[in-house]
Amino acid sequence: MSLYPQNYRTLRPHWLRRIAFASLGVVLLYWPFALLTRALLWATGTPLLPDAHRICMRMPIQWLAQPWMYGTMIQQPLYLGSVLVLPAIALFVGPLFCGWLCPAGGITEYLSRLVPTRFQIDLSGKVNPVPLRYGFTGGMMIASFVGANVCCSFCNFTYTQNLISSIFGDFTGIAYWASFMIAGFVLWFFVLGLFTRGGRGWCNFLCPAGALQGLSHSLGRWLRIGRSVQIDQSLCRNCKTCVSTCPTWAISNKEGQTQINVHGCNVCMDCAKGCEHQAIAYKANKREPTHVETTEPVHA
Amino acid sequence: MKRMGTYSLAIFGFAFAIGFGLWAQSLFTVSELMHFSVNFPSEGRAEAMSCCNVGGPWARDYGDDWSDYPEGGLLAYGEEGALVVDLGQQGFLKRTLQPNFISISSHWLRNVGTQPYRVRLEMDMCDLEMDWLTFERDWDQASQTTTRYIEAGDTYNMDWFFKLLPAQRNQTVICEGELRIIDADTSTLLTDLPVKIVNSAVN
Repeated sequence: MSLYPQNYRTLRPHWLRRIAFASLGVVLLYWPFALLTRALLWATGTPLLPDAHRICMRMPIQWLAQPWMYGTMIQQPLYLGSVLVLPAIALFVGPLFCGWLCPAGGITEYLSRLVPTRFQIDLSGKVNPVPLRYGFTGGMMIASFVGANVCCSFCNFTYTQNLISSIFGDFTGIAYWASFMIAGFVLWFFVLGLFTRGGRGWCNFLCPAGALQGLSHSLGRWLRIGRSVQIDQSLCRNCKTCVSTCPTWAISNKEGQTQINVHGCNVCMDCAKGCEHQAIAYKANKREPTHVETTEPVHA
Repeated sequence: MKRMGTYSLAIFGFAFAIGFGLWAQSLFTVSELMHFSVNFPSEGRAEAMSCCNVGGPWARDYGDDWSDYPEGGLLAYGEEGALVVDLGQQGFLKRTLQPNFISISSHWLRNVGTQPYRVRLEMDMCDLEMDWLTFERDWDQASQTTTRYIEAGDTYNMDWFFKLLPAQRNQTVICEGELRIIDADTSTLLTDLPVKIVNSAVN
């Protein structure tokens, strides 16, 4: 039983950097800090108190299927974060928010490293999370048309805010959770978080904000604009270290070739930092690729 | 085969979202974390005029004939009537883990009149232990009054959290209360909404 990947010592400084960025995400977006949210509320003259809900990452995605809500999104620019700002960033540099800043994804990933792997579900290479995540996002977008509610009732950003609030002495959110929130929390934090290899099961399967950014990132790769994580096959020794390191199960090794599923990559750079052969790098998409990438299901 | 697997996963994700959403909505509308909207003023008609339903203005399809928010006394969203929280219809997890922590929430106390109002809110709920919470910045809890004027067409948010005693829970009708929205400047009642907490599981 190994508690950490074999290249733990190599990755430790990198993980500490990522944890620092995820903490910055808390400071920027979550009560009681929410510095970015406060600045945007002040700039837009919005008379609301700051917490994770003010820059909602889910409702605007649902509204994409509701054209009559476009005016609201334009009038209240805080709603443009998940449907415009983050996808625009992802188009050029990848889903950096997911891999580096998102506390909701980071908290389960980092805590999952403390759980022995023998207690964890390993779905890497067994299930391709990408179509499931796109399917879930589609379902969330049309849910309100069939009298269902997903975006607010199933929100890991809320769970994270409630956890952070409780650390600062406000237990109201947790004490008053509804059944669907309790179920969602267990799924996010335990089943798909701590007890799933990589700790990013929720991100991989059920995050619409991540899905939108993954789609945008793949578009940038297809258009050969911006940057992405790429593998130099001439340097790759097929050691599969990157496959076991990737928290989003986006890397596979098939028939002697290591591949990155650009839809699932969140540009966390764990693979690049952990590669002893320097075969993986974050490079401009303009060059003719010396790597192989795939949008096909990942199978190790 | 690979393509079939991909489509199957996508359909599974889609169905999971819809299924979970329907389950959540079935609890949202009857017993847990109930969201509702209230329009004010009702032009002197102090009668039930709001709804208990999840969603909000974004869930409403305006339709071709929609031109503006309706006059006071009409619904902007949902069904007319009192807000009824039925503890007997709580989900298994809520009933097992937090059965006596009840919350209701209105993101949409909406001014459907033609002039701005600064309002005072009164939640008369049988002396149940209760907390107020809002994400509005302009709120004075001591006087339960908004410290800004709510413009015509604008909305205001307020959540209420009730903590029941076990003995209170074991009643068919736990409380028949009322939310009152009052013009803070003139003390005129703008509208009210009956709020009932019942437990249909008690024989």
